[in-house]
Amino acid sequence: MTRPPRILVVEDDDGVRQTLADVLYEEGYDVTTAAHGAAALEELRAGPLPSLILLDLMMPVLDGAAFRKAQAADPLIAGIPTVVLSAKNGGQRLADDLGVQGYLAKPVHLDRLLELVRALV
Amino acid sequence: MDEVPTGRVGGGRSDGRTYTTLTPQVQASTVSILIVDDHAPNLVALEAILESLGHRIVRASSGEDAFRCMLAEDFAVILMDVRMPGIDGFTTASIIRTRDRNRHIPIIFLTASSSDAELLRGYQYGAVDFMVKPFEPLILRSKVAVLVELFQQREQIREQAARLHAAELATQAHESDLRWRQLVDAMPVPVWCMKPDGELFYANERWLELTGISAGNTPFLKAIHEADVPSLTEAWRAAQATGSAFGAEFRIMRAWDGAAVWHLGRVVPYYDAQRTLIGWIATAIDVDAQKRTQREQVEAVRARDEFLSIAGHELRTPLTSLQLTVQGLLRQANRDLEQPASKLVAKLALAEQLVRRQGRLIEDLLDVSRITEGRLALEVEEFDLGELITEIVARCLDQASHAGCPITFDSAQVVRGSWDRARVEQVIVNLLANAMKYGHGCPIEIHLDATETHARVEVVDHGIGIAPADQAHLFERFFRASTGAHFGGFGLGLWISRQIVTALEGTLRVSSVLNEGATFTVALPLVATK
Repeated sequence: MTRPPRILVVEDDDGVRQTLADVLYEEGYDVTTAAHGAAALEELRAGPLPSLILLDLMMPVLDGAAFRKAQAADPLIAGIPTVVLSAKNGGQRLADDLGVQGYLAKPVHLDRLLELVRALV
Repeated sequence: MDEVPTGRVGGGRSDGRTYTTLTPQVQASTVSILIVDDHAPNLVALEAILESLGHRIVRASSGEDAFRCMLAEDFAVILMDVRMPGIDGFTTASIIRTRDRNRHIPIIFLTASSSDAELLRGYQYGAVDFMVKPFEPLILRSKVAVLVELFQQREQIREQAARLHAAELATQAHESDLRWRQLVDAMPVPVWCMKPDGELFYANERWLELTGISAGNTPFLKAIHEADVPSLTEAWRAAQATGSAFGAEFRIMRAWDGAAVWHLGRVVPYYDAQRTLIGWIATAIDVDAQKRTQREQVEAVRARDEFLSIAGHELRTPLTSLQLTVQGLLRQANRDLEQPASKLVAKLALAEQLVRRQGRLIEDLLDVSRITEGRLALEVEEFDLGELITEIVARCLDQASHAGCPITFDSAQVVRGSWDRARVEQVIVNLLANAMKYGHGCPIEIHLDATETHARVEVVDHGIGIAPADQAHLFERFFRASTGAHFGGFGLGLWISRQIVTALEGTLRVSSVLNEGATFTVALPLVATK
């Protein structure tokens, strides 16, 4: 039996982070979480690499944009598909600037999220 | 009287007579006397006679020589021999007279003949007097002295007239200056004059009161807030280059409280009659209140934008969690239960609907703020409008069957165009939601077609319709049809839809008959011009 695809959820809001982890776990994904960009980088360097990163933009310590820079600079993790989930006005444009593989505006519709995840992992 | 300081004292070589001035005001000064004779001994004799008058004697040996001398200087008197080889005395005199500045020089002819014809001719040529040779030195000297005095008096009068004229001009200028200052002092705004280099040389009372800086060798920039000096200097330099007036905003430092008060200034160059720049005249009006209001408005807009940005984020974040939870549960329940009609599924479905409604309300509220501020950002891309409508209709099936309003969609052709996909979707969803809300359980039709320039979407319902009186206000913010019944929502949907369509340079219109239904027509340009 193959291991389930791993997804890293980077999100500072505890509720959103937990919910995302739950719904993805229910769908059979292996989920790890990080509360901000810096924790996400640690997680990436410590454990097995995920197949997908779900990334919030507005976060303390290291925000989504800064995380993307760090990610791009590290060839080990630069290629991991990344989807931005944001509650910010104009989030689509911000996501476009970051060159990510997908964008979903919050509140995220579960069906759309799962469609996108399936397409990318 | 011999030694009257301004008097003229004749040498009195042989007569001992004293020549005094006719008027004591005449100043003693040396004048030039021209003597013209072709015989050198005569010139020597003449000079000897006139020497004692104390004036400069200039000799000329011919008419031509006399002309040369006259070009070099002005003479008080000319003594001229009538008979000279070449040009004779009369001809010389007539030529001298043709020059304007020599017209009134007294000429004494020296002649050997005293014939009446000769005298008459001489006077015609402008002679003042004749001396018949051999002449009495005393008489010659006294005649010359009188003419010199006449010349001096004439000069004196000319000078006095010039002085008088200058004094009159000065008085006039003073009066004009006084009037000008009174006028400028009466003005309620600061007015000041500067030399070309910006040195303050006149300022009105309002300026003095405002800045506490009096005119006189002070650069006017001293009164200006230092932060505004570079831009003002720059504007001024540009104006100097072109010699044109300019306007600028700057802060004047108010003397009594040290406050920097915003002024809108206008600085105008002024020139003398020769178009030489004399200086600059400046006026300024106090625009501090406007500036402050402007600043406060900008600050208020900034604060509001920031609030909206945060509010949007904060409102959506818990909703994300709530929506995902409910949708996750619903998904799970549907998957796990053999009987999807269970109570749990029904409740979860309701919870999901509520969450989505809450989400729409939040987006509507945020949209109102965005649209009101003209901050509706459009993300234009090309897409197939028919495909989009098909998707929307598919998503609304549940809701439609719940409302008992089956939706049909027909399209006469493929319609592609460049619009903001999400915003067009929002408009069509709004119109459909409206149709279902007021559709009275009747079918809803959507038609799509296109002209050469526009795509057209019609959403037709057969519901309660809209009274003509209400149609005029239908697209206003917070409008709600006066049916008495409450249909829910903020009453923002149609207003937002119209704003979006307008932003896309299209139109949104309604036609309706009460109790027969309503048709909403969206027309969008096939190529967005923005």
